[in-house]
Parts: sequence; structure tokens; C-alpha cells
Amino acid sequence: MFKKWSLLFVLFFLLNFPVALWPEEKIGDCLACHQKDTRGIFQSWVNSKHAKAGVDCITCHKSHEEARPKKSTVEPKICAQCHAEKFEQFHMGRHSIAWDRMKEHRQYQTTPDPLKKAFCERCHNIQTKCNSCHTSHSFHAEEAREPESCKKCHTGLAGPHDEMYASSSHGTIYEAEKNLMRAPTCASCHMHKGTHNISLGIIYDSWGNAVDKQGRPLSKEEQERIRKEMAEGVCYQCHIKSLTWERFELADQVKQEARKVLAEAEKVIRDLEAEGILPKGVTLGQSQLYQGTSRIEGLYYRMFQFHNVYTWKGAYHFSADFAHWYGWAHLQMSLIEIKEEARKLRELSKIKKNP
Amino acid sequence: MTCHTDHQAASQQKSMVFPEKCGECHPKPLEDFKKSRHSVSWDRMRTQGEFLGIPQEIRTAFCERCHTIQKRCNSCHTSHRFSLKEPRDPEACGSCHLGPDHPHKEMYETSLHGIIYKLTKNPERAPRCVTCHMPGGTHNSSFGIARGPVGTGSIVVDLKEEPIPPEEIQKRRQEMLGVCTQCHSLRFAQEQMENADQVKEEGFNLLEKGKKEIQGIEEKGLVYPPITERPPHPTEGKKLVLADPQLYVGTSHIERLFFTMFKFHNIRVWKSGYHFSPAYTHGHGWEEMQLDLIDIQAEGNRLKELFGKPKK
Repeated sequence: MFKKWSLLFVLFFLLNFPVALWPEEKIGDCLACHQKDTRGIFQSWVNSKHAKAGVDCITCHKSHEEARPKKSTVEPKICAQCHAEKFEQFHMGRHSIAWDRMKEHRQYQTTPDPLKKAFCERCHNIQTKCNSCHTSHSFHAEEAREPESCKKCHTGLAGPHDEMYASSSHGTIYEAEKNLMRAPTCASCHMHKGTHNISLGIIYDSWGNAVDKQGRPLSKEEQERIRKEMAEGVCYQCHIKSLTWERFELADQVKQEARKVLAEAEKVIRDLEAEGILPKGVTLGQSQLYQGTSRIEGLYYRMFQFHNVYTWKGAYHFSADFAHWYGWAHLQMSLIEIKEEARKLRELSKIKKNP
Repeated sequence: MTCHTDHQAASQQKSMVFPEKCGECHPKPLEDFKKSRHSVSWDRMRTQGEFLGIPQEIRTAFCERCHTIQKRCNSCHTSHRFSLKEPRDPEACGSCHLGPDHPHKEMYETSLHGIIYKLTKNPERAPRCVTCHMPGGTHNSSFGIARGPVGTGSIVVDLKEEPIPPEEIQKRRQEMLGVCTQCHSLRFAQEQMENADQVKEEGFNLLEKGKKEIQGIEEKGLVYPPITERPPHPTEGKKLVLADPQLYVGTSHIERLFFTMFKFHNIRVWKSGYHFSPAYTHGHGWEEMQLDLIDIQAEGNRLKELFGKPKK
């Protein structure tokens, strides 16, 4: 009798706790070392949904021989075996071209090799890994939904989205209340209903051009349609229609005004180029480098790449602080500096000609 | 219906509900609010040179988003929860009181007050913004502030911009010390405040040095574009304006260097003195001011060298 019961107990145990026994059997070779050597990874996995669902080392990494040469990287297509829909959505968004665009950019190409990895690649590798957001080895959906998770890349001089969000009413209310019914997170607006197409509802690329993923200009109608996706899908959940559109149109105007200031600065530099004070072939804007140029071009670099972006992106993220003080005020002050620099360059060139 | 009255009325004012409406049920907070500088923030903005220097269409995206606090209680008690708990969190104040021109949030976060509060979330252990500035739940957020608004130097003014007498200033200081002495000894608190007063004076002394340098350059006719060739300042007309209400648009570079010095760095020196953040009062404030002064002097020398020579 006792024997029969104990057999039943063992059977019950085996059926109900496959994770506890089977993976260890199957992945025994891995665990022999990795349970000790990489204890953190092992523990994260044990507590993950993957472990409960029987997704183990071998499911993703295949074999030791296969994992080793690619330093255990698991490409999105492997994740797609189970998460096909997310993978498809991911490919509709700009995250899926982050690596390719980086490779094409002159700034990347002219950065010393060891620095490329420490600088650009650390974020732009999002094209080739899902664990940029769903970090290893927990792969939490909850973690990835927190603004902190986006912050890892979307922070700092080149793209202070986190800072803009944090200083907007959206961000401050969320920080105080941690309640999604009260205020949105990054994911609420940019990954509406869990889509992994993070470009949903966004008209502009990083440079402020209205283009699609392939770089083709968007028609007025397409822009309208994209804007509607954001407004109707996201904003109307909390805001009235008139206010929503008023805010978008206001941000559009801010963007245009910033462009005007940029254009004025560009003209000052182009005039110097035409007068022969600067050498011919000055590159300004999108493909401009931050090294090896004249000082006046360096001043423009800051304007274009930092202050302009803070102005218009700050406006679309409803951070008055970023749009005004980090953006617009600095755009204006840089314009003053560029004009003064041009005046000095002209005077110096005059002195050189008639000493 | 209670707040928005009816659809037509609401539609016309974009669903805004003004403080007077809230005051029907909350008369005491409204009365306190009216004593605070929050209650003049819209009016003051409208007459400020910097505001007038911004293209009209985009002022809403910049200044108005915060200065609207004069006309709405839901700047802090955000719609439609109107929570009491939320506005007591420093985050709530942080949506306006941050950034280059007045980094109150950043000063607080780098002070011992802010750090202990962040670690413990316990207002018994360390104060939040409201502990000192809205003690006992007063809605007069200017409570105990014995200093003038931005840019007015040592002159302390009331809501009508009239200078207030030294006795009144002393009274306010005593009120604030009443908050401090909940945790600190009176001697210690007084010492800290007086130290901050000294820091403030030193900050303004440094500012004067920068001012003098630029005035000299202007007298020599070396600022570019010259004052006479610029559009007039919206409130001051055709004259050299240094410090409030100086513009950051269309001035000479040497004036622009001074703008950064007074608007961003001097304010950190003295306000962080009172918020007890050495990182801001020294590193982001005093150090930057000294470097600004070097820049201003070097720029002055370059201008004299390049453009100051007598014409042959």
C-alpha cells in the first residue's frame, strides 16, 4: 500500500514540476558549471517565466559549440520561434534598423574602432537583440514597460527622451503615483496595446525629417494618418480632441521656429564659405562630424544636434523646460555666438590680407 | 457639473476650471494661495522681456505651461484625481521647478534633505518641498521666503513689486526658522541661513565684476550688433540690459556670456546656498560663474584687440 502511494506521489511530482526535474536532466551539462560560475544568470532564469514554461539554455543557445563563437548572443529570430507576432511588429519599427543606420553614418565610421563598441554599438545593437529591453535572463515584460528601461539608451545629450518625459506632467505624475490610469509611460504612447512597432504614430526620424523607415518622404496624407494613429489610439484615452490637436500643432510650430533659427545660423556659415574664409565643402547637419572642423562649425553642431532636438522633441513630449531652456534659449545663444565668431573671422582675414 | 458648470461654458474655456471655482469649497487654501507668488506668476510672465522676445505662437509650449499655475489648481492637484498625496511628493513640484534657470528639484535631490527623503520616503526623517514651503498645509508657497524673486538681487519685494521693509524680512526669516527648529537647534539653523546670506552676497559681487567689464566694452562701442542697431528691448528700450530682464536673443556674444552667468549660474550659487546643496552652489554655481568671468574678460580683451584699435 505504502509502495503504491509513494509511486503515485513520485508520478504526481514529475507531472507537476517538470521544471524542477526535466530541464536539469536535459541541461545537466550546462548547469554543471553555470549554476556556479554564472550564478546570477542561473538564478534569474530559475525565477523567470521561461523556466516555468520549460524554455531552457538549449532552447535558445542550442549548443555550447554554437553559443560560444557568438558570445551567447541570441538573435531576435530565435525569440520569434515563440513570439512571432512581436517579432513582426518589431520589424515595422525603427529599432529594427538601428544597427544598419549606425554602420552607414560617417560619425560611426570615423570613430576609432575600440570606441565604437563602447559608444555607438552598446545601444544600436537593439536591432540584433531582444534583451536590450527584456534583459537577460529574466526577460520580464514588466521590467521592459518601465520608463527606466528605455532610459538606458534614450538619455543624455544626443536624445534626452527620458529627461524630457521625466520633466513633463506625464512623467512627474507617473513617478509620483506609478499608476497607468493616471499618467502614461513611454510604452503607453509608443508601444500602444503592447505593439513592438515602437515607431507607431511617429512621423519624424531622429533628424526631424518626415520619412518612412526606408527614408522615403511621407506625403501629407500619410503624415496625417500616422498622427491620427497616435491621437486616436493613445491621446484620446485621457484628453479631449481639441486639446490634443492643439498640442500637436503647437509642437509643429515650435519645430518650424527652431528650423528658422538653424537656417539663419547656416546662412552665416555658408556666407563665410562663399567668401573663402572657410574652405569649400563644409558639411552641416545630418552628416556633420564633431571632430576636425572649424570652431564655427562646432558651434553649429551643438545647435543642430543638441539644442534643436531639445526644442522640438521637448515640445512633442510636453516638457516646457526642455523645449525652452535646454532647447530654444540655447539655440538663440548659439546663434549669437556664431555671428560673433563670423565677425572675428572676417576681421582676422582682413588683417591677414592688409597687415 | 459642479466644476465645469455646463458643456457650453466648458467648451469655451477648454474645460479649464479657475481657482475661484475650487475656492467655493476650499476657501482657506484659495486665500493662502493668493498670498503666494504662485498667484502672480501669469501676470509677471506677461510683462517679462524674455517672454515678449519669444515668437507669440510658441510661447504656450515654453513659458505658459508652468506660469499657468496662477489660473489653475490642477498644476499640482492634477486632473482628475486632484489627490492630496500626489502634490506633497517632490516630483509634483519638479514638473516646473527644475532645469537650467532654476534647478530647485536638482538642488533638493543633491542636498542631505533630498537624499534622506529619497532613501526613506519618510517625511519624519527628512523634509520634502512642502515641509518647508507649505508648513501646516498652507497654500502660501512663499511662506518664510525672505528673498526677492529671480534677478532682483538683495531687494525683497512683495506681490505688487514694492520693496518690503527689513522688519518684514526679519519676520519671514523667523517663520522659516520655526520650520527648521523642528529638527535642528536654533543656533545651527540660524548659522546655516546666515552662511547662505553670505554666499548670496558673494555671488552678486562676482556678477558685478562681469557687469563692469561689459559696460566698459559697450562704452567703447565694441559690442556687436551695437545697441542702436538692434530692435529695442521690449520693456527697456534701446539700452544695454544686463541681468533681469536681459534677453538671450539678438545680443552680443559678451552679453550672452553674462546671460548664462546671471541666469543659470548665479541663481545656483545663492538658491543652492539656501537649499544646502554643495554640488549646486559650488560645482554647478560658483565654479561656473568664475569660469564665465574668465570667458567674459577674455572676450573683452579680444574685442579690444581686434576692433578697438584707432582707425588709420
